[in-house]
Amino acid sequence: MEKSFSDSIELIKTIYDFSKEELQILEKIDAASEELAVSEFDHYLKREVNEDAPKIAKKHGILGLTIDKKYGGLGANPMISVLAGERFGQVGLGFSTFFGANLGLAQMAVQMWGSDDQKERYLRRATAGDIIMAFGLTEPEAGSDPMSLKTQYEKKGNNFVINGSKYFISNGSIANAVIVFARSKDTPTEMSAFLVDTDKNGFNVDMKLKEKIGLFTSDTAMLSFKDLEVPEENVLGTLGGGMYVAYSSILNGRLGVASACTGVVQDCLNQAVARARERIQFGKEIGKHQLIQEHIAEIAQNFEKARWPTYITALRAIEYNKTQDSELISELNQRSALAKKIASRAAWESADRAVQVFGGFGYSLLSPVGRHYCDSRVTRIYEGTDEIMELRIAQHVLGKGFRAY
Amino acid sequence: MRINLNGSFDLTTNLSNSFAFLTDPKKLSSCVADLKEANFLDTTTFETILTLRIGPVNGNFDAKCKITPSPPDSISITIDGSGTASSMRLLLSLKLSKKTEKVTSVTWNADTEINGLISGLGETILRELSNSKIQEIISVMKTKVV
Ligand SMILES: Cc1cc2nc3c(=O)[nH]c(=O)nc-3n(C[C@H](O)[C@H](O)[C@H](O)COP(=O)(O)OP(=O)(O)OC[C@H]3O[C@@H](n4cnc5c(N)ncnc54)[C@H](O)[C@@H]3O)c2cc1C
Repeated sequence: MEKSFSDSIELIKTIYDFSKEELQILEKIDAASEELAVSEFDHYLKREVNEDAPKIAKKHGILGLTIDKKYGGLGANPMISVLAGERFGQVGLGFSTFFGANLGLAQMAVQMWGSDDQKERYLRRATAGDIIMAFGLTEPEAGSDPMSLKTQYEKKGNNFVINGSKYFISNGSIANAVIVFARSKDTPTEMSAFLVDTDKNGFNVDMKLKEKIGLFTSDTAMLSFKDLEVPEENVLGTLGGGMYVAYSSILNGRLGVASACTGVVQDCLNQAVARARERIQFGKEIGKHQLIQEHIAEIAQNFEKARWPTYITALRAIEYNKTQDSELISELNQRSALAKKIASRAAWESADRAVQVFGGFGYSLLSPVGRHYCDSRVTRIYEGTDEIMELRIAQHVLGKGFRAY
Repeated sequence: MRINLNGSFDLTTNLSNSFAFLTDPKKLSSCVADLKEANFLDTTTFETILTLRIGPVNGNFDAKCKITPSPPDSISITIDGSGTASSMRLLLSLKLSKKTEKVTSVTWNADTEINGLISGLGETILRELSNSKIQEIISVMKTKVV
């Protein structure tokens, strides 16, 4: 097992009792990560979406990490999930983004809100790796404020007809099914979620966004829907209850981003330390120059800052899953926002410092830290921007009546 | 950067044939796919140009390989190379043992030190790439040994 990953597991043993089965799952995650690392590296340098990644994840049986065993998943709880996220973050945010959109956002929404029939048709297949899923909330004119989305649905016979567009959708062009959020044409205050098969007439991939700062191995697409017919049995959750579906997924998603960012910080630390021990300038290892030590010390601090809010949120999520105590939901909302805000900032800053430790080679995408530098910027934007996270944290601390948006 | 890898594999021939194969520079070098040319200096040493392909890095690596046999069952191979703004030194130790009359078991240990540009790729990538290269060489070796 990768050393820093086993170190994290050992540390968590002080606050959490792993079962034998959970430790085996983590072994699986580690083995998959080893294989994914080379594949991600290869595709990254070609600036192409890594279509091998889902196959590797399928081979290792990890696509349904947090999905009930009843549907073929591994049934892992949030603590195992954040540790897996941390390991994937070391590999790179491209895979983490694929995995997070497929599992954390889409499959988990079906697990939580889907009918038995939907779970059979979508969840079981996504867990087995037979289909890929995506989560389509953001629109050209509705990002931080998803309530302003414009995609519309209209009832026609036993179907709903959807018109509109979605943008910046992870896995959008490689998915077989997308959860699409839309507003009722007749009752515009009503928003619903639909399970949409991407091979249906009226589903269009308008653009595969390749012109990104980083995250090349992850697919990002712009989608549009023209008179797209969706059967009524594909409404996810209740009709009009789409925002509950969206918010529950975003909660999972934020914790997922926080854990992946923790992994990025860990990898930046590992890489920077290795480099500082080996690279010699002015007759000694650069790690013996005090200003390089400052970078290392800052990254080490970032690692501690990033991981603890993530672990604590995972423990609270386990508690919520056990008790279903509704009071905990508000706490979880705040904690996942806080974990995401801290960890994403830590990842970005650590990548910047690690690039500095590497010097010129750090500026190359050949170096792991160069890739982290390019990839980590987006974590301060997707699944809720830094600013939205701050508003959510402040609102929780200030109390009811202080909602700033 | 230092990387240690080890493992074992079987060759379907007896111990003395295996030993002869693994200590013959011509036979050994024929198992390396990315070897551009080899200049055999004596019965234990050869110089070669390895083509190195890692992502977009597509460079030539000048390498000198020395085989030190310790009959009947131990071999050590050192490879010193430089190129593509990098240098590397590999110490490979092989230990042979008779598994059956027609099968020889080979246990290997590789200590590699990599410096310069290539080392910046990071340990995870280099470890995995080295491992897959070694497995590739072993699989060719298995087909060539008789
Ligand atoms: C690579 C990538 C992958 C993505 N994947 C997905 C996906 O799979 N599914 C999906 O649905 N979406 C996805 N997104 C979209 C992402 O979630 C949005 O980009 C994000 O929520 C921000 O929305 P926006 O881009 O419209 O920015 P805007 O909402 O236009 O924000 C612009 C700026 O204004 C600030 N701002 C907005 N409102 C306020 C306020 N009230 N107070 C203070 N500041 C404010 C923001 O913080 C930001 O700095 C992805 C985005 C990227 C880049």
